[in-house]
Amino acid sequence: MVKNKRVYIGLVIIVLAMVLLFIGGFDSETMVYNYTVKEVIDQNKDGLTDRGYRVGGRVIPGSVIKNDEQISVVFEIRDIQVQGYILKVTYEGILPDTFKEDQDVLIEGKYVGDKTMHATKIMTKCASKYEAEY
Amino acid sequence: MSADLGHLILVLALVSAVYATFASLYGGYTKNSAMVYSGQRAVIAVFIFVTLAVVGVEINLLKNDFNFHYVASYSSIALPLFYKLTTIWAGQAGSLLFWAWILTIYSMLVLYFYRKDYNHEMPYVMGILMSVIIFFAAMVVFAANPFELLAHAPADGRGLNPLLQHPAMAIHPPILYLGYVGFAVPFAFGLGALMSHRLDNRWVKTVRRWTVVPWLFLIIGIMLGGKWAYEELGWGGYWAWDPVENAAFMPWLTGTAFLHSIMIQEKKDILKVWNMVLIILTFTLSIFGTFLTRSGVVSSVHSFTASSIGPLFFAYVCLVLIVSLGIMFFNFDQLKSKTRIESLVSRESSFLINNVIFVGLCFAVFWGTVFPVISEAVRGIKISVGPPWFNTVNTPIFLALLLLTGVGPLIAWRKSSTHYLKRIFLKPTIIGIVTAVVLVAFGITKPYAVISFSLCAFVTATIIAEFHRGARARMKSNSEGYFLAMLHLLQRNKRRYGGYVVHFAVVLIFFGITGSAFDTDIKLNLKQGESREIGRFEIVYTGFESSRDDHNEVLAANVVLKVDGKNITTLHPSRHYYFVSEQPTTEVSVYYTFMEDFYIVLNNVDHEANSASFEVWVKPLVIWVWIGGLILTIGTLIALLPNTKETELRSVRKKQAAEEELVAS
Repeated sequence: MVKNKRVYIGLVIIVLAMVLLFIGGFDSETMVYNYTVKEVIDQNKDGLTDRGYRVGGRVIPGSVIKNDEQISVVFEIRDIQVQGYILKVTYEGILPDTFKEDQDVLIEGKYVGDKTMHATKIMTKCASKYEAEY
Repeated sequence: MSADLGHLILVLALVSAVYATFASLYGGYTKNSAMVYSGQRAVIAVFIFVTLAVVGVEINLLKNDFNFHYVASYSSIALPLFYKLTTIWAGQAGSLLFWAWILTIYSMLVLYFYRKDYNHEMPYVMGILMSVIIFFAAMVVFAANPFELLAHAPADGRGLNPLLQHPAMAIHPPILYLGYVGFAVPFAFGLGALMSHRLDNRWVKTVRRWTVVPWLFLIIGIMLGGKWAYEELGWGGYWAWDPVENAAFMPWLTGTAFLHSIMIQEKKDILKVWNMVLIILTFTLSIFGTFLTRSGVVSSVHSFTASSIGPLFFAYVCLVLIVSLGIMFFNFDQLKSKTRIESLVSRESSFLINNVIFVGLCFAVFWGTVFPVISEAVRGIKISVGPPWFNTVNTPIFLALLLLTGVGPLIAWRKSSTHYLKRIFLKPTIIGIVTAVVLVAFGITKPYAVISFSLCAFVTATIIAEFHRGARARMKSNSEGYFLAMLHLLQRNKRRYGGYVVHFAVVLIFFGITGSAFDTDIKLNLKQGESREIGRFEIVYTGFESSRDDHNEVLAANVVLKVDGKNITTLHPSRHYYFVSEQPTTEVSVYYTFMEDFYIVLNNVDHEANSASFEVWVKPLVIWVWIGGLILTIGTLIALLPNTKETELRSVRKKQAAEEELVAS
């Protein structure tokens, strides 16, 4: 039993190390906040420009303009629930296959002011959760 | 199969499962063997009914019977035959039925192999397995019926999502399910041993194999999913810490911990409580994984599509956890160990440390996966936890595990002397350090990458040394040649050396994953005939081809790939446009080498400017992840093969059991 002590101490150290890792992980800028389009536009002045976050919205039909020369794309998303809130999104890269007009997308990136967001990542519904609706 | 008949069969399956559960448990509890026997008959009935239901769904799919909601939702006339058959696990109702079916198959196998050897435990084992079937059968009867009819049959179905029309994706779900569901067997055996008060080492020996099998299926399923993501989704990666990926990874982690710690229980008769907790956790996480995959709770934070089965599933996960921990609590006195761990530097404690880290890793993944949901529910703040968080937290944990992969199996039981440690670990440690120094000298300075490569070298060295020592010992004692000795070594100790092969495979997988620290990602636009250098590669865009058939239109670019000025191959990154779903899919083109993958995605072809735009990744060492997966499978299969000794033992045991039976009657 006495000999056991060092085993326990060893385990406690390992558990503590992992707990520290957890806390450290939450401290750094590894977590992304989710907002709606309305929230982004309303809270424009709240220093949102500093950190990255994720915005959910619906792609406005006819707003998608691709530029092949620079492999960039510009489109607009609107708030899913509240009418009248529109955000412009710029993105350099290839749109995911599941990206469609009039469909919900998640934009990850930074707000650059003037109701415009610069996206670093665009997500749509994952294929594995594809459920048909009738 | 008509809807009424299908529904009737599902109801019969449910009723039989309810009867099988109660007859088995009650029969076991009152030692009423007639009742137990009747329960086992009911298990067979459940298997037959669920099988009929599966056949029924398949017939509806093959007949393109769009009267059925399920067929209309996931199939279409033009869908190739193979994908029609696999459509049974494409949607919710079908996959729940399929889950139940796999469980009935596992139950039948367990019943067939062990009803005699484990006649005391079997009623409880069957009772537990059938109680799980009750849940899934009730789900397909009441909440997600695959035989549900539509008011008006459409002329054609909506078809299977084109992204899922990929061979790896077609077989990925059933293999994952074989893993998820398979953990029900060790879970039922553990609780069964507890409930029948037979906690000697017998069930542990038997259950090891029944844990390794689902464990292997799960990791193969996970890797197929990764391969599919890599080749089909076109974002240049194979793992994104997506909730659905995590769902499969979590039970695999606790399952791995369990596989290691039951070895300690088998040899040393300790860690009984811990093992029971681990197998309960593993099975609960399997159900939870199915829940995450099927309910869509986590991923769709922004548009919470309430799924009818979500709350039911969640309640069931809680029920499983509470009931099984309760059973454990009320039988706690039986789980006491007689011996204790003596030293920190022993195999026992190194396995325990391995276990704690695995569980910690699992908790990290769990926390990162459910945190967004909890945060939204409790604080109303919507947060996403993405790859950066998982990588920050998990990378050090992974590296610690990699270190233990090398250390754990070689430390002696009970206590290791300093002299012994030196003899075993001195050379591998030197090799590890030299690797690190060489890497830094060549300008590789990413700390995690250097540590990872260095540990890979260290672990590989320990494994090679272990094989070498074993072979040398055999050469001396049996006067065999080196390679014959090596072969015999593997043959005689399949479990041990199969395990080393698996560990080596893990090293290769780590090696491949570490390569991702050196990825290059470039977006470019090329005019016809224009070329561009990317690392040691050069590409020339030479034009495009387009074609169309009944199902889709294909646009393919021709890209000549050169290495060191020599033409290597022509790549055809393309885009498919499926008419039924009106969705384009990217067909990635990859040039695989052992050093790196050249991965190219077509963005668009501009007919007027006569140019095309691409995204290109140069991804070092990716191929070693897949090679590692293959070797892991081979190593696991070696470890699963019965040892000659074991086979003899079993025949002796059978004889004994037969004699006991004779005496009893």
